[in-house]
Amino acid sequence: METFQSHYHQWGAVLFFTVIYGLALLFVPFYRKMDRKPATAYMAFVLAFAIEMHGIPMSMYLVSWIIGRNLPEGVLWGHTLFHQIGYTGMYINIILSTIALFVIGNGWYNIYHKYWSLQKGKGKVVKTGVYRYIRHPQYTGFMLLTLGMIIQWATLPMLIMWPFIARMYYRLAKKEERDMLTEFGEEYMMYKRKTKMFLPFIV
Amino acid sequence: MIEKNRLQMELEDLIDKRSLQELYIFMENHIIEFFSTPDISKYYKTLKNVDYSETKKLTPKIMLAWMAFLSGDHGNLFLIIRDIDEMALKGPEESSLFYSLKAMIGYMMNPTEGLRYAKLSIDILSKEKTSFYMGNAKLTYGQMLANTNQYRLASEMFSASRGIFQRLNHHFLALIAMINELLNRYKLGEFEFVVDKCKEELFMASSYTEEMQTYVNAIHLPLGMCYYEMNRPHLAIKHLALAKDSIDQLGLFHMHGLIELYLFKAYYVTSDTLAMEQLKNEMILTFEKMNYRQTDLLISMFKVFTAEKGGLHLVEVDIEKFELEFGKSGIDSHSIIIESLVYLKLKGFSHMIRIQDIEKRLENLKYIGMIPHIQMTMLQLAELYYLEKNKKMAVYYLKEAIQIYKDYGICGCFCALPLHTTAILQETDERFYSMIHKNVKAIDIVRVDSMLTAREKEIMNLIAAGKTNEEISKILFISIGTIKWHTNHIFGKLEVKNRVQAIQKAKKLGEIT
Repeated sequence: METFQSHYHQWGAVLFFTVIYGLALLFVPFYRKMDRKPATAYMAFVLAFAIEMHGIPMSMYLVSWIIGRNLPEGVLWGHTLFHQIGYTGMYINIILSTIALFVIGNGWYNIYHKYWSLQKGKGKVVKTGVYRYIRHPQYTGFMLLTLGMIIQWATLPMLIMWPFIARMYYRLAKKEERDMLTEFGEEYMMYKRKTKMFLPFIV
Repeated sequence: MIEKNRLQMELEDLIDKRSLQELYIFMENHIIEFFSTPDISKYYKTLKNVDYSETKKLTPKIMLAWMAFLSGDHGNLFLIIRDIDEMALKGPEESSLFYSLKAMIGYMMNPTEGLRYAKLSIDILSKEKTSFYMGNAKLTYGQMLANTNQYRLASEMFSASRGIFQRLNHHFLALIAMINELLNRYKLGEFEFVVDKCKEELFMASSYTEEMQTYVNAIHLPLGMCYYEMNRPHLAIKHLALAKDSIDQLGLFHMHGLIELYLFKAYYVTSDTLAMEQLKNEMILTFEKMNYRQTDLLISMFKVFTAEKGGLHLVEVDIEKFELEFGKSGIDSHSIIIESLVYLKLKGFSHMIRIQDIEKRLENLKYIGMIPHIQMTMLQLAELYYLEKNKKMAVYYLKEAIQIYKDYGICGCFCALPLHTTAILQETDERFYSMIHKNVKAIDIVRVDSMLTAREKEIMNLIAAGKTNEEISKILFISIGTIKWHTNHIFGKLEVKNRVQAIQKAKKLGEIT
């Protein structure tokens, strides 16, 4: 079992996780100003995760101070539900983030090649790669990344922020679909009917 | 039968008695009976010469205007319409009936005008009520939406209209709405849905009276169109012929054009030149004097497609007609115009339409979602690129067209043109090709401009005869190095790696015999 001291106050690790998770944002094509809002929220989430995991466990201090007693490991600090599931959360996070990075990367690759490379001066509806099953793979990716972080190391701000981030990405996706409908009309409509928004065959 | 006669007899009775007030009231009370049968033009003939100037009531006038419109009597229609004062309309139902008619007329001049009036005719009625008026308003709005290429909204509107008419037991109107819905779903590529729905309807219709059977047979139209797209031309002919009988009998004027077009295409696929000739002559006989634009174009198209080999110069009149129309509206021209011009271009008789035009058209078609035309256009592009020796683009568009087959299960258009691209089609997707090849019309490859030069052909022939480089060098008096240089070129042009492949490929392409 990790000791309290070994895990906290490692600011190099904080920086490391912030940068690593931040890198994922580079694979999202920004093409409108408003798209940055969910990205900022995502970065705040990453910071909340990295700082509380390797910097200072603020949630724990705050909650302990309010309720007047110490929190057991795995509740708002440490590996999530450590006494119940041990390190399982961490493994789940590794799996989820691998899937997320693949989905984000694949989405970027297909968009970059099919939509932005502008074969004839105009983009077209991308239906290849992960886009064959879901319409917003990159947002799925970010939701999986953040969910994974919660499962590994849940803190108070993360639990509060996650529903908001999910909602932001959902609304962004909805808005993008409306834009695509005006741009591509019935072709996008038919694509939409054959695919799901975030999870293949589910939603 | 009895019902119909009763209505007509009572009308005649009332006209004879010259009790016009009673006639107007009778009309108003029986409005639904007028419109829910295919016999509207009979009633119109009976009522046409009645004097309507006396009545203050507008409903009988609007009814008469509708009847004039549906019977194709446009001259009288405008006279009646001019006599109706919009400000004097009473109640939502009367207004709705009037605005939907305005939409139908407005569309002829200006499509957005038509849409506006049709929308108005729905909005003016209260939402909850499922009345004849609501059904009619939705039917009209659906027509406007379909005419402005909004197929999905249109089919939803038709479907709603059908639901209303069904609940009210107006079978004829429900059928009209349904056929319209299915034609729009056909455009959206929902072929399985259309086929299933047609079969279901025909099955239920087997219990109907004989009189109803006649008009139910119109449902064979969307069914036949689907079978045509699914590359089942014989089935298509069977169903389209049934639909044509029904439409001829009912005198559903505005359904003409579509049915003949698909019947003709199916005959073309089955190479039934006799039937094509017959259909063409029948069309000329019935429609040529009417100068109705759509049937006019269709007749020209039939003439172009039935022209004998090398006889296309005999249809110059029709070619000029197409070129003139295309010059006016460009890629927004009617699909019959585009299809004919591409056919003529492939045959080398008209160069008006360019590849860029067709690519732009494809983009537009994708936007509105007209699936059968999308596939046809992709194939046209493949053919045209092939003729321009741009094999890469030809293969690209062939693949796209095959993808449409994979997504929607249609491939009829592959047999609707004599194809130059059969060889690369076979290369691109062997399985697909073997499935459709039964009906495909390949062009006998007599290549004026072959891939290989004369010298290369000479060498290729010797290679095919099994000669080694050394033997060839002795026969042609050139060095082995030169032969190697030539063979490398040949392999490059044929895109093969070795002699065996080269021989096969050259034979397939008709470079050697």
